[in-house]
Amino acid sequence: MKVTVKSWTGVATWRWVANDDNCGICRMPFDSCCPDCKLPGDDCPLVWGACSHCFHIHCIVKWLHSQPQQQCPMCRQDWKFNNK
Amino acid sequence: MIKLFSLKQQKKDEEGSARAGGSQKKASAAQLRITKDLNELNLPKTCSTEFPDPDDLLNFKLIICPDEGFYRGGRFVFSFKVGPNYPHEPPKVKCETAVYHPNIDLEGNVCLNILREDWKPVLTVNSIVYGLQYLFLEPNPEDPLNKEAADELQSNRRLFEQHVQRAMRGGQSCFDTPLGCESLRDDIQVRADIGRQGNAHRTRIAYCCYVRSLIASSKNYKVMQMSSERFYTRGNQKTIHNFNKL
Repeated sequence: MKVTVKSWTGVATWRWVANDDNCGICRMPFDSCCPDCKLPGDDCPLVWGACSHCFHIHCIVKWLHSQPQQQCPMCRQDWKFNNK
Repeated sequence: MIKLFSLKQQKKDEEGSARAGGSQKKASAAQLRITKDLNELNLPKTCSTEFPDPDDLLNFKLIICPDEGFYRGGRFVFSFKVGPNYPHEPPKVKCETAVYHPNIDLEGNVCLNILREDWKPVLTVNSIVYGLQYLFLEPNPEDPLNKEAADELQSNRRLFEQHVQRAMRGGQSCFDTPLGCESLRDDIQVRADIGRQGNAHRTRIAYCCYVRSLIASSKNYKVMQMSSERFYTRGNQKTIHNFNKL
């Protein structure tokens, strides 16, 4: 039997690979977005710190801006963005 | 045919208005977060919550009835006010019950690290509940708001315990009286009598009641300074006069 594919449609799903399911700051799922955003994905990305903790970028940036010292809210180590 | 179109239009309108209503009610970030906090709240058996307005999750009360330690048998009410910046700012927590405690002052301010300098947004209402409960089990004289209580706890634990027990018995009935401006004078008199009969600590309780009632009845009074001997109030000479008579 011979099958001829006339057309096909590719479907893909995505999810963030993080060490946790929820953002520790806003408690929303990582695969969803922070409360200030409408759409998950590249508009509301995750960032990792050198300490390996992970947050929505908007959540952690808002927190770091309000603090005199830049520390991870999970472990209080100095916060450095991990650009891996 | 025309009828069909009008139906369609009608449905669209309904949807439109529903959406408008929905966006109006759209929960703020603080509301979303506090909802999650409260859903996951795991209260110890000594604690309970109360919502004066069930639709308002941002303002509620926590009641702690410690079952061990210096404060066993007491009932302490804390008010939580969650601001729009939660969780980037901690909730404002005040103790509404008068208590003789090194880390809680007479105006109800609570000294707990995670409510101030050590707050971080990964903490939840649950963390605060445990923090407050811990304050009653282990009062911390190292970081006092009520310095007298702290000094006493460090110098004489038994005396401290006696005063705590006495304050919980005498203080509470005294503080919980609802105050109207009319009955204020009688109230002060009663409390002054309590003060005169008892020892210095009772006097102190009567005085705090007095000042609290002033604060409750008029916003003009500013408590300038408090000590076990005297209170200075700004705004009314007569008050100060009456007060000195006590």
